[in-house]
Amino acid sequence: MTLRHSRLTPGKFVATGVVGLALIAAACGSSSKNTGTGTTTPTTGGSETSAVTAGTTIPVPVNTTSAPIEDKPVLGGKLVVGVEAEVANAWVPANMNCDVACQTRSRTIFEPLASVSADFKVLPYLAESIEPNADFTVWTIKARPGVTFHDGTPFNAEAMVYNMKDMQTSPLVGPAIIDVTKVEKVDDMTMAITTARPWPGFPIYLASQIGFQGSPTWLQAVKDKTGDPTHAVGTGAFVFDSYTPGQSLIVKKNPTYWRKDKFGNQLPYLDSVEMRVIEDEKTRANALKAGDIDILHTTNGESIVDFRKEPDKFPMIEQAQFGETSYFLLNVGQEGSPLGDQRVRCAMNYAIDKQAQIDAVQAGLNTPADGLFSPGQEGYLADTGTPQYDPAKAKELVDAYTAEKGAAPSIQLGATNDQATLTAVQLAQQNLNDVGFKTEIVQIEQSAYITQALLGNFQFFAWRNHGGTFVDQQYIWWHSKNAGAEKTAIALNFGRVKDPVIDDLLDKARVESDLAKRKADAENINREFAKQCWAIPVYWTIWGIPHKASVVGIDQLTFPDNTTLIGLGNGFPGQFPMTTIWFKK
Amino acid sequence: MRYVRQKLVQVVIVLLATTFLSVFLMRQVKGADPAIAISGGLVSDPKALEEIRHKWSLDKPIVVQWGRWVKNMVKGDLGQSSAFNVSVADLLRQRVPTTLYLMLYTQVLSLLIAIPLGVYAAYRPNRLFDRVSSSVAFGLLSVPNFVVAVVLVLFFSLKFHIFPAQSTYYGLFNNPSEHIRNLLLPTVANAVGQVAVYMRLLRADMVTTLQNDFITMARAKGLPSSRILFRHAFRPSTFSLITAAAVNVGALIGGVVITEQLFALPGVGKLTVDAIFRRDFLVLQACVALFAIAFVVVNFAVDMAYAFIDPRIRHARALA
Amino acid sequence: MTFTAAEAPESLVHIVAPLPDDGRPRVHRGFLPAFAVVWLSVLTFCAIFAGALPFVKAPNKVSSKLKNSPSMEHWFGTDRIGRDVFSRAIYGARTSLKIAALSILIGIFIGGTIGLIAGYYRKKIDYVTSLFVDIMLAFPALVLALAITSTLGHGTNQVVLALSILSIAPLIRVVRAQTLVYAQREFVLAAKGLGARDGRILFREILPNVMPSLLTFSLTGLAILIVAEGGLAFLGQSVKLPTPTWGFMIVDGYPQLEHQWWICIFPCILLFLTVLSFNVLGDVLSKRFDIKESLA
Repeated sequence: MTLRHSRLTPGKFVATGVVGLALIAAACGSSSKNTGTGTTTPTTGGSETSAVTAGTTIPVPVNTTSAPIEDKPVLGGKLVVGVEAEVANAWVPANMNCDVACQTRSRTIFEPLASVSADFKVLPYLAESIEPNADFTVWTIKARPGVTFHDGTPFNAEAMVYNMKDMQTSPLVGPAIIDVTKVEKVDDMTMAITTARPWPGFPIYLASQIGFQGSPTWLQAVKDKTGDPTHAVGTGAFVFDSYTPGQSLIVKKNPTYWRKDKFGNQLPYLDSVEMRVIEDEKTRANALKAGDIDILHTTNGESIVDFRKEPDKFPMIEQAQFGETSYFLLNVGQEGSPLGDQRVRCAMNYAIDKQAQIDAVQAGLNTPADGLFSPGQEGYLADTGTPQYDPAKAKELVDAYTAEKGAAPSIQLGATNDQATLTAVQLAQQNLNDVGFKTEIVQIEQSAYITQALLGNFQFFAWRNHGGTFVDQQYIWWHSKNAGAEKTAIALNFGRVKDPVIDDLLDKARVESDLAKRKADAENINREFAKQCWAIPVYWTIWGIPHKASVVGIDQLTFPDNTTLIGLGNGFPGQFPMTTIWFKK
Repeated sequence: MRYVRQKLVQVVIVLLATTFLSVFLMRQVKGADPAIAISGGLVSDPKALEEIRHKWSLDKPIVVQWGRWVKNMVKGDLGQSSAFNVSVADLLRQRVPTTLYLMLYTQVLSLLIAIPLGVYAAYRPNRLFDRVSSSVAFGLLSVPNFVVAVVLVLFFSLKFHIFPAQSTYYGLFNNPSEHIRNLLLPTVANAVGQVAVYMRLLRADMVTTLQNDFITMARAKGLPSSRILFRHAFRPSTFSLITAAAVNVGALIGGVVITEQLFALPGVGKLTVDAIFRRDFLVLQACVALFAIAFVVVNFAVDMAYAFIDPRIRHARALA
Repeated sequence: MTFTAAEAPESLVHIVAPLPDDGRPRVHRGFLPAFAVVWLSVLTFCAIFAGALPFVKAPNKVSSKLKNSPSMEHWFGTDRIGRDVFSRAIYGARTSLKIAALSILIGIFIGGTIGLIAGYYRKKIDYVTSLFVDIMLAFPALVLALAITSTLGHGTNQVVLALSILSIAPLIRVVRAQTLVYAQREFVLAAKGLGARDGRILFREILPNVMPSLLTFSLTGLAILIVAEGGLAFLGQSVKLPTPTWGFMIVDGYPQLEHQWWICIFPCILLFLTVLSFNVLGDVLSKRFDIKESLA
């Protein structure tokens, strides 16, 4: 419905399944101190609006990460987390339509086989080892011994194979690992995965939703309709306790969890965690201020700006890297659509005032985006060559098109019923009309919105997607292979972009093992995107995680060997691992 | 008894028709293959889709689909919610109390305010109090509940931080104070319009009653006014009021849908709206049936009550 | 949805024993009816001639003045994307009034006809009609309206269609109840005795007598429909954007209530005054015609 600021942002499909992996996989980035984007007040624009925002100063973030923790943790306590939504309609890892809230939730119960380290390396997590053969076509994965699922089922090769096969056949996440040709059990504790071509970047997927391990006993029971699909069973630090649809999930400490901290304490520290769904931004923020919850996550500009003003009472961790890009998605594949014409797409890029969008919807918080790779991602460029706001130039291009075709380009602008989206689209509409477009707004409900995108039944959608670390994670979104063979086919390349240059670079990046070369490929993709104006980037998401001052260890992602990565630059924008959180006395 | 049977037949027809209408309308809605929608859009396995199609007869004409749904419902199987992956029955069990409490409190609150005001206004008709309260009631009647909600939120949530702008449901017995705190604003938003209705009704009836001989008699005997008003005049004047309170359940259902949405209260109203937006067909069909049953049963009860109390009304109603 | 408000007052008409008219407060004789007439005239005038009035700006024109508070230049302030709230409210009146008026007209035409026929012929037709009315009233109005807009798309026509369907059932009830009464009256029986045809009796004898209560109910109905459009807008199912309607403006401003109250509150006030005016006029009429309707 309509009243909340950030209820399911349209593009939240974004975070769906496959996509989810993009987010997670983003594990990375050395102590990402967020020095770059998001921390400074945007003053760009040259648009009329900058004059207005000049008056309102946006406080600069005070602490974006917490200090390393040397104190001995205090055990016990219940953490109450305010999460922004409940989109996920399944709890079986292969079927999770998983946004950030769902990732936060499911990572208490499920664990992935791998995790990403500070230097962009994928390290084994639940797996004991992950080894490629010489040409990166066979991956040998050994299960960590001594681990059992919450229901007592042993974690071994059989479990890994069961899970991986589920993922392969899942319509939601399967397409991301389409190059996987064979999954087999080698011995009791070893699984081998064969890929169709060399795939040096493959393990990143094991760090995502695709690497999640659910108990095969439970998964089979769900398939046989004897098990409860919402009663999730994994190996994680917390065990499912109770679930109230649309309202809350409670998980409690797993007493036999396989990990201990560096002091020898049994993890996790907390006794239980409650994740409470509070969709409305203001209410979630007020719930923290009133002490009803201990911690929350948000991308809402007003909320983040508000919390920046109270750094002592409510310290906030901010994450401005690896996140999603808010943009206008264009469907370029429809026959006869003006969007097939590069001039029209570029004219739209010139016409839309990004800074005004940010001022209207995000309280001026974010930085205008110059491409779909957010800061920190492989392929990010400060200047991609994307056309900047320039209505005169836009008008020129539109006039040329109109003169040639005899009619002004006419475009349907799609929006969900969410107020922020409606505002953004109405503003875009005026920008476009001002330079000679003929436009019409079509309101579509959330679930239909995603279906229409999958089917390619749209022209222009307000959207959010493409978080991640490595360029390979964008393969599924931009390769022409996924652009839908027939008109009616479902496609994850929603915009139906068929660009041979991008295809070629994506294919090259997939088999490339040299990181520097891969980075260059990624940057070239970014440039090509800008040149062709395949989309209209607006701003990069900033996640804020304000919490009570007594909550510590939020952004301390630890590995099995207890090395710690500090900062939420570790590729979980908006999420936080709860295994190592504790309450200061 | 013929009358009862006649009414019962009507009730059954109305229920069948409304449930059919809900199935029919939902099949017209653009957006999804119902089998995929029912499965949550995630079932990859064509066999599983086939199973769903078979279970709900989706490949058959709508009448058959509806028949299948009714049959399953009678067996107690409302199906699974595609959005939440739990059974529809469980979902309703969780959501119904919120809505029931909200409706109950709305009725209680509006009657608590309306009765003393109405009685006093009738006691001195056309005096200052009567004129003012009648005008105010008239004004209140013209404020939609969402406007009341907006104003309440502005003052009590955003300015003074007394009540939450968006409510959470707490059980009455688990956490009574939060239970009340969270339900109060939505209750008031719904009650405002009702107060006006009830007050006007009671006042009008009361004015008539007070002109009766037995009241004059009581006055002549020198009984105190309060005793006359509440002991003698009140009871015979509540006839319309009670009817209105019962029949208003229909209006209340409508009001609750909006207020639950506004305050994000997890009740049946919000569930209905979410079900439409998420194409959660089985949940929607169950909600529609629930609302229709509530409406029909209450109306039926009112009819029956009158038929037994006063045969003249039975006749009048049959005519009307 | 608040449409159901329509059922409540109306269905009460039949259940409740006729109320005495004496002792009714006479507060509406003075200020309020006068206000209602003036308010509605000014509003209607502004709504019709919005384009030609010098103080009404273009309703969809965005500007750099985001979220400005009310001032001499922008009487009701500006919204999130710098549009003039006053101008939008005036254009919003145009949409809201148009939708309500069209819907009630269609409702009167269809509902009135069915009601007349059912009340006059009674028997089977009446039984079926009553069932139909019961079904319509038992079905959650919101679901019906949502189904219509999500099947046929958004737009003024679709909204009018949804709202007129919703107004049919209560109107049938009003007209039917009145027809039942008049069909038994001496003058109708006399006309029948003189061999007048049914059509003539219905339209020449009964209709003129039913008209006053129909008119009265329509005024109240207008008020209810304006609110109903707001309800639809709340669920994102009203007309195509950026066309302003009061309902949409209220929803649109709601998230900004804390910081920019004016975006939401001014349309609320306009909506309230208009609904009040229709209710007041309905009340005045009901007294004029001595219609024993228990509620506003």
